[in-house]
Amino acid sequence: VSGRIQTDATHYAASARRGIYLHWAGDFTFWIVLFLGALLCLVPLYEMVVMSLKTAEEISNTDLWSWPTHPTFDNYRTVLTDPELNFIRKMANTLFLSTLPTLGVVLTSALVAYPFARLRFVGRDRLFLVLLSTMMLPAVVTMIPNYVIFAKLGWINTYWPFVVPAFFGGGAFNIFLVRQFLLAIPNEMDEAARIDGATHATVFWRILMPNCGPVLATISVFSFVGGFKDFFGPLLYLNDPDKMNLEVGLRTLQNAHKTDWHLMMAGAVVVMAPILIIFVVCQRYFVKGIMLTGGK
Amino acid sequence: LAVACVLSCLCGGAFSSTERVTIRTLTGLNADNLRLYKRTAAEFEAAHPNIHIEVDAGVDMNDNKVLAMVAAGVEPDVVGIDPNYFATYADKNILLPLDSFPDLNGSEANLKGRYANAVASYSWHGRLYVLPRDVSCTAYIFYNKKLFREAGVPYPDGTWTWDTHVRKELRERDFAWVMDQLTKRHAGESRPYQYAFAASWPELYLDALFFSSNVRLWDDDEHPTKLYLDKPEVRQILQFAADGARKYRWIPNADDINMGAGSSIQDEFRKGHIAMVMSGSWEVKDMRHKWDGDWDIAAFPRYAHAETSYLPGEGTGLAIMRTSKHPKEAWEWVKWYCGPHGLIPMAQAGESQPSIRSLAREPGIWLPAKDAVGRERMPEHLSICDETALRVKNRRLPDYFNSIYGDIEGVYGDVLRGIRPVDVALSKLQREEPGRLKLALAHVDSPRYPFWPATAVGVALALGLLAWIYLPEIRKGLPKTRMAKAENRSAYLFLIPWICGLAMTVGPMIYSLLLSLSDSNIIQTPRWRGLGNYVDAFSPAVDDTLFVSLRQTFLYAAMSIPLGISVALGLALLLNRPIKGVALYRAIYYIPSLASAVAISLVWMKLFDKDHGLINAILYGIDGRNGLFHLGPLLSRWVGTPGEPISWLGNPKTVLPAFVMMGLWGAGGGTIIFLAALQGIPASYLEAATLDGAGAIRKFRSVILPLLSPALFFSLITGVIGALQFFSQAFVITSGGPDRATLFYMVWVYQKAFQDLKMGYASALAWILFVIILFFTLLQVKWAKNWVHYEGELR
Repeated sequence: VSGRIQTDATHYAASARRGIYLHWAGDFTFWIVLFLGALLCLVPLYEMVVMSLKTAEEISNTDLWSWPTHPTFDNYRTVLTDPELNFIRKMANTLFLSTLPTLGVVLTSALVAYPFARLRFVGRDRLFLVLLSTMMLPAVVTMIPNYVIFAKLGWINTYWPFVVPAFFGGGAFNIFLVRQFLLAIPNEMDEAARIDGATHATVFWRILMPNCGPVLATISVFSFVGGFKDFFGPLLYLNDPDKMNLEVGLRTLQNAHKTDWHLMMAGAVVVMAPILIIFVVCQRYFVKGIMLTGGK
Repeated sequence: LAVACVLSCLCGGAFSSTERVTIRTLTGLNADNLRLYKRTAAEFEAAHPNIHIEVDAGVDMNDNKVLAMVAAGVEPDVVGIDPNYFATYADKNILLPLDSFPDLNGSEANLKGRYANAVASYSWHGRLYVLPRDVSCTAYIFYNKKLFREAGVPYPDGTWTWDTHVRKELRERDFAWVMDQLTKRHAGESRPYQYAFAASWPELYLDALFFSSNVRLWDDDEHPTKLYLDKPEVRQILQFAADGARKYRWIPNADDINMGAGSSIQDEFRKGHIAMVMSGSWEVKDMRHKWDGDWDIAAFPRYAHAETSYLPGEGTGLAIMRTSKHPKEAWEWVKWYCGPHGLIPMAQAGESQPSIRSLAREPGIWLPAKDAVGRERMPEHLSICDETALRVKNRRLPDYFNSIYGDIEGVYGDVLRGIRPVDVALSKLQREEPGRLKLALAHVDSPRYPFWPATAVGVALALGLLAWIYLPEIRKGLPKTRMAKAENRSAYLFLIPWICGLAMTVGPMIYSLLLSLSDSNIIQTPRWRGLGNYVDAFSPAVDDTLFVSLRQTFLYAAMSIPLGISVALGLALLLNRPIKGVALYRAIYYIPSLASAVAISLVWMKLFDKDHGLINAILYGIDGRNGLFHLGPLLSRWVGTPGEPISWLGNPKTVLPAFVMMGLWGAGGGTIIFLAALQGIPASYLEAATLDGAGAIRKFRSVILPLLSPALFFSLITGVIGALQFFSQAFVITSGGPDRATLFYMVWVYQKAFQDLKMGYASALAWILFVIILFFTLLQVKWAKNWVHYEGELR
């Protein structure tokens, strides 16, 4: 069995063999493009940081892009210590509301995706269309009936509406994504394992799951970030302000007529930090996926 | 005996209520509001030990949370109500009339001591449903005294009036003359560097003009049956408003300056770029807080030819829900919160004007204390708020009129932006709207919704779905061998979580399908409409939005899907290189998807800003004239505003490309998917291709692309769904305008569902979209057989 090692490394090595000089110009443009794109992506971060370091008065009286004349960390202090905002409590809520559903999504979306990708069963293709169709009806019109169901179950003002659905396959988007990735894995290995008498569960757990690192990392990031930044869910299903998450908490700095930009941006910077860290940690898995099994 | 009786009653009352009663209240989410609310609740609880106040948070008044709660029967005991939305609730019989309480004129409720118009605006068919808390005229003019002095214009003393032309002879007693004097230009330039006047939001100016002139646009606010949209007076007023913005440029164009989501007009005022700004009483606190300039307030001028001159206004009040189990205790809280106990701290914090007149007029509460110093003494003439509050009129439109009113506001907005001349706009309105009004009035009586038959149909639909899935299979033959049976069984075992969840998903879907056959305002029982909603959607005479909205949505999708996928794929290929430092770039490219949505919208609005935006700075250069390769002036001519920078989000031609560009910023999500997919490409394939002498492009086309095709297929399917359901940014940034160019399908559905409260119609629209998406998905699934390559093929 030839090792299936990291694509790009060999790709790069192969290219390198073909001529360093040809690649010098390519590399140069590569870095320029990458750098300019990165600058564009950093604009909102810059803006958040700049506004978080200004006083309300300075934001109101100076240009949006200008660096604060007297940078101050007061906004951070206010946001972190304000008893109404209750930052620590809300951070704990937020971590709970993003971690537990992520766990559910990762576990169950792979489970559900597996038969769609690998097994023959009655009604598979049409059930798959049903799966896709659950994404097609806009949530605006199912919101009220959903709320009514959760209310009848007594789940309003609890975390159940966020956790339970995540353990029911985690939504069509994730199931579909994992299915696509499972389908891209050659099936010689699991065929062989089946012939050796392995059960479907063993094939799933021992052969396919280890190859799913990148896609599972992808859906973890999506669902973690989604949970972290969810606004409408907590706002709708939770009543007690102390049960809500940071995204809703930040919105308390805004009302119909005015916005405390200085505080809101300080909060936004603090909120962004943990997800950025999670992302940096997870991103190793998108690109260093475990690809040591299988292959031709 | 009588004394004993009373005593025993009192004791009985006291003893029986030892059990603590919980009153659930829903209030706005804003931190200042919550802080005040909780503090007042704590003081109330100390005074009423038998009552506990549970403070729940929603967004603001009239949000869909209240509707959802009412629909589910879990509504709170007490809710906050805004006078402009009051009719929506009062009309549906869900609020408790307050006139049954004996102490309406006691020291707390003090109905006689409150602004009579506020009390009146919370009454419906002669009964009071809401106790007013704060009142606010929204037509205060905040003016910069320094700019008045520089222009040699005396400060407004309340005697000014307005007419639809400049009356030079009246000088400072004519509003138009004042605006003309306060508009300053550099020699040779048509655009002023100092504007005279702006309203907090563009519709507010028109409201002030129509309210103060008392020109009626329809016969009866509470039950409009006739429209007078092209009366000469209406025409003149609209022309005056349009000229002020377009011809004389006293007023910055709505698309020039309203970019900062409402806050920037005040900022421009404080920077001295606008001499007068019109807003409500909440602005007082902010002005004190953010500015040490010399400013004061005046009332919006009266109309020269009107005897009664109203002003637009806002406010809040508390209502008790009819379903409340403890109306007496709820009333105690309502009185407390809207009485002196709640109003004094609110007014002293500078939040808003109390609805009890004596409190609004006493220095040290809402008016600055006699010994106040510095900014706290501002503004000098805050006392005019008593007189202006008396002139406030609230518009209480019935639900059936919401969409017509929305159309009227939209067309007026287009006039102010210069998209349509007044004559064209008004004749368009007068041509279309009376017919719509007639239809809206005709719809009022529809039969009861056949509940049991509908349930039967719902069950039949679910069974039909099952039949559609399994009948062909049964006909084809179920698995026969032991192996096949075992495989089938384990497949369904794996599917258990999804099938459990499916009930929760499919149930609401079928419900909304059945609701699409009804008239439903969410709160009341739906009425039967049959296929009427679908017929309406497809008849331009009733609603011509479907085709406009679909066209814009498809245009957006056609631009954003290919661009979005290619940028994401390109980025993934770039970021897949194992070069040192690339990991950092991966994180950076994902930042726009992580950053706070509010920050992102703000930055985008500023990037696209007409005057200070980065994009126009590149196109027109820093001096705002030519810029790179004369690109700007060329573009300006193309979009129909020669000689002016492009207003990206204010021009119907450029707003879609602007949204597409915004969407590209979020390409990081797609990039991650492709990056993950690239990991699955076996290195041996690429090596083999290299050995065969394939170049980079050849390798990409023949090896990488086929192996990425599963991920590409995923991106296409979800991309189509996402683009056709595009919603949040359009809703937040442009809310459908200009000229309906960003009235994406979902924005429209949302407006129908939660702003017009036509859930039946919205459901029908949603199902139309469902069919459209289904069609495109099936097309792609069919087409996928030709190009999607699965290594582990479906057997």
